[in-house]
Amino acid sequence: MPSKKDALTSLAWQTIPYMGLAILDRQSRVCAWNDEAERLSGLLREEVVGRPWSSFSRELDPARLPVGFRCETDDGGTVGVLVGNASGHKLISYQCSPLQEASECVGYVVSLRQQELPDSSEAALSVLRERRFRTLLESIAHDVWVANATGEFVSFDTNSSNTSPAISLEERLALIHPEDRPRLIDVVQKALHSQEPFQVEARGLGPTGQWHHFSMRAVTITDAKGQLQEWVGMTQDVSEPKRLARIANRQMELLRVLADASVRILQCTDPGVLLQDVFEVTKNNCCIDAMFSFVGDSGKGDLRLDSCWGNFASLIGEQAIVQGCIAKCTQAIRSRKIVCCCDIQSTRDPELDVLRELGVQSMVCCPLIAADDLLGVLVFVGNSQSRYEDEELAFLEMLASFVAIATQRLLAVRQLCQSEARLREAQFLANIGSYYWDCVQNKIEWTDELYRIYGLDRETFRASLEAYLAMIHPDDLERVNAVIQAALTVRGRYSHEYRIVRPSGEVRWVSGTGEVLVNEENELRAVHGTCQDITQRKLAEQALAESQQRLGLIAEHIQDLFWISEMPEGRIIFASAASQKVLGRTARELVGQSFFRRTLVYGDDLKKFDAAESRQKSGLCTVEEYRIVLPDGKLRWVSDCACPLIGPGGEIRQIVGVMRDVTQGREANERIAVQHAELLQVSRLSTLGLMSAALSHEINQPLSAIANFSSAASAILERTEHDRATLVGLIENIQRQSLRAGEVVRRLRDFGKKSKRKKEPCPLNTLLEDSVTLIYVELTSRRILIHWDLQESSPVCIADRIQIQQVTVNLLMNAADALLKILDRPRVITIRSYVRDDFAVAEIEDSGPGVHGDFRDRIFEPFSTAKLQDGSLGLSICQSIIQDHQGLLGYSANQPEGACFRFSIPLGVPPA
Amino acid sequence: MTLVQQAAQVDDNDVPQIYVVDDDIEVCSSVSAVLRANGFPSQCFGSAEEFLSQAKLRVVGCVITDLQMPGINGIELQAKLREMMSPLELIVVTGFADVHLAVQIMERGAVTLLEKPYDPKQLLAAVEKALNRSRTNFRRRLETQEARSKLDQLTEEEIEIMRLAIQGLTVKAISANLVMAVRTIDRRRQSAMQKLGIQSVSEFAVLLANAERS
Repeated sequence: MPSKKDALTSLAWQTIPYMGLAILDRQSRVCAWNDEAERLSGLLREEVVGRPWSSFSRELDPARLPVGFRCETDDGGTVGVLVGNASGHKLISYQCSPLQEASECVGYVVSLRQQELPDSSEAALSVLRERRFRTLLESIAHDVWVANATGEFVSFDTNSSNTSPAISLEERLALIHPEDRPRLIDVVQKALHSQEPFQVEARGLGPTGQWHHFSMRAVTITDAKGQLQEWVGMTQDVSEPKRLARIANRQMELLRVLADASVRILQCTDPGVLLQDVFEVTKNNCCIDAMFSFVGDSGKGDLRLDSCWGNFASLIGEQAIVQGCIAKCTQAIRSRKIVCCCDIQSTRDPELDVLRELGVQSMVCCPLIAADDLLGVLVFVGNSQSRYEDEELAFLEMLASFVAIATQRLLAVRQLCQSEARLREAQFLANIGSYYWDCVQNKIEWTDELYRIYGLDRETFRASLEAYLAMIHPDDLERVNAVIQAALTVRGRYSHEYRIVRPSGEVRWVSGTGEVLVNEENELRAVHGTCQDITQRKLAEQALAESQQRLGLIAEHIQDLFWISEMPEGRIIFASAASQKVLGRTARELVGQSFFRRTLVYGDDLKKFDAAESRQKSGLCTVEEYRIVLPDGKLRWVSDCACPLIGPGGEIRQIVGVMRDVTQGREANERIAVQHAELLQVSRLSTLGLMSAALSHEINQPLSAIANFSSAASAILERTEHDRATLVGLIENIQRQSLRAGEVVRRLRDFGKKSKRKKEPCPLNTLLEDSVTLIYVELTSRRILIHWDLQESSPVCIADRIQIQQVTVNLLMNAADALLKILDRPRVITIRSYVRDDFAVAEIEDSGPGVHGDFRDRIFEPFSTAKLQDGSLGLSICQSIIQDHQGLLGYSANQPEGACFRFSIPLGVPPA
Repeated sequence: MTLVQQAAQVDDNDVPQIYVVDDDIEVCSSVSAVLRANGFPSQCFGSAEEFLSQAKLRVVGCVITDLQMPGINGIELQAKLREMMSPLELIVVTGFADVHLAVQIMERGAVTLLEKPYDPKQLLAAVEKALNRSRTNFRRRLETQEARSKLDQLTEEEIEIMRLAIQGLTVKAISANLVMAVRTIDRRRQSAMQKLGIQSVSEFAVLLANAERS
């Protein structure tokens, strides 16, 4: 007959995969070590079998165990460390039970359990918890309301709007913008009729008396028969997202206009047409009613009114307005910065008195600055719009930069034209000198005019080839020499332009021509030619070239990187100075590169970027946020707004864009997300503390069952004849109980793990059942009966299982707390699951006293139910978790008594 | 039926009842298995309510109950059994021991409190102890009841006389004490001993001790 030890050993082996088990012989030497024990301890079977138990285990003093550990002191249970391999010591709790055969100890069974250490000490956690909690709460803003089937509000939990539940429906409607009111009423009435969920946006009066955009979403709650019970809705202030979207759209629109206008402006040849164009653009896009410009020499403070456009008749008088603007123009000129005066009618600035009397609403003065030269001031006057948004001001500022560049260019062109005309006149008269060089005698003759060009005196200067070459600007000398030598060799004509240095040091540009003369035998005889001073023309040309380069100097004070790339090569033809700030690369590095943006994009964001780029290539404007890699390897978030410029043939000629550093905002958001996750983790760990009772209960249940079953098996084996069927039954029971113990450990381990912040399909029923198990002891010790009413085939929802479990545990604990007050009737919590529309819905209903009337309006407010001390979360956090899952958390009073909380999460897989 | 009559139906040859009450059905059946293997048949109940409504409560035996249960818990079950003077002894089992509760339970007369997981040997020992105690207590209570009902047949005077008699007072001394004729006292004493069916005053002392036992 096999010994009992052998029987149990082989039994433990094959059947208990989730539990670390070791069998020791009478001398406490290991004789068996299963796979799970290997996994838990990191000690291989070969390493331990045959060794005395005490040689690699070390008992720990129960008093010195870390928080969260429970140490069994009875029945041989011990928490200890297994001293092991390279991966270090593992903290394992083990429990040792003697194995008896005919009331004689034949060995020991040791079960191993892994202990997980809490992350840090309790005190540190509570400080962190408090701080993060506050940060988090500040980011939540919305209202949740419940209405009955006929649309009357039952509860209204207000947070952000100024509506209070006490006001009637009529009063509430009065808060809606009159233009949106009929539409809102229509939608709501239709919804009440059809009993379909609805969503509507409307403007409502915010707490500060301004119109806010509200998005109102409502779903229906029906009873088991499908009868509509009530509406649960959420009203959310969407003004901020709306405003941001509007700004982005507006920016895009203005950028497109700007890009379009910039091409026209920079190519314009007539200053009158140029400013007319600018005025039309601003009139159509920024509600500008009039525009005028001052130009002149800023150095002398001599600015004069250059031109006026606009409907001055609607204002009172052109001259009066110009006068009224002078003070502010002067300020703009002095500061070289844009000056914007909004809401003139309601300000008290004495400098604006004249404009105020004339009924002008707003005025913007943009200094025209190209390179460092102040060319004038462009003044925009608005009579119909009282204020300008930041993006409009940026638009006007950029436009002014273009005007400045164009103006400077036009000035240069004008000068060039003038000097060219003069040249033509004087060509053969004043500015041309000539020479004759007799090569045979090496004698050079210069005309008086040539001496004048060179700034020389006929008396003191003796012309010779050497003396002539000495006059040439050192940078040009080689080139000039080469031209002359070539001409002499090939006996031809030549012409070239070069610089000379007058004795006074002054540099002049000259244009020289020459012809080599030969005799009949083709021998060199002489060279003769002309020389002309072209300095003025050269300077004008240079000025023109420079002014075109000045495009690169636009908006150096603008923080955002403005860039233009030429399609289809994607070559950057322009990048503003801000590129140093935004991209960490100078504009010079970028210009000329093809598709520069793509090369900088962080790998993970390439997909996003490519999608945006392909939209641009199909002619759409895009706003996209992605990360770029700085030269030092750091990452930075940028918001890139790009617009394609479409040519007359429909082809995309250029893409222009503005790139902004948004790292700070992004980081703040990420920080909040991380804090959120950490807060949940902290709270979960403290919930784990709360559940340590559950842990021991849940583990001890199967363990005691195992002890009982195996003791029964021993007793039967001791008899001389035993019933095989009974034994098999007992062994099967042992097997089932060990699996159960393993399952408990798994559940707790999962709950304590850091959330992956990953949503995946999970069955709602299992989730609810697991949550109840986690706090089973808490519930039974309060003598609460759980009544299950789950949908037979579990709804599968897309959720972060741990987070939703946390919400459920919280709702259950709230219900359990409420039930403590009940002494005269059974304490029951009903847990329900069902599917409504595309949502999996869970309901936690209690038979407690319900939520008190005053309090009902505030349950979702931060801190109203926040119970930090026991590690649970407030309802407001629960709500933010559920909202993060695109679901709703709602409350309704239960009939005839108690409270009912329900949350809905979008369904993952539609139920078959 | 009076308690005495009921109790009279139970004699030592009857198998004592063992009840297991635990909301965890697996634990219930494991306890039952270990008991059966050791020759103790038992009956399982999933809750205290079920147990109270279905089990025979006025019998010798014991109840092995979990402490934490939804609805009526171990402590309340103990109170209920005490209230109805059930001879059943209580063995309380708990998943996690709360010192306060443990003291309370032991003070109220439970046989023992076992913390899960326990050595099944401890359980078997506790069951044996509980059955013995139940049997003894039951027998003692029976005696008390018997004694009380016997004493109920006596008049006040008779009891008074017998009380003085067992203190060792002579008939004369009693007569002086109660201001009664010696002959009357003698007659009353005879009548009392006849009613009780006893031969000596010392037997009365035993009877009285039984009757006055709480």
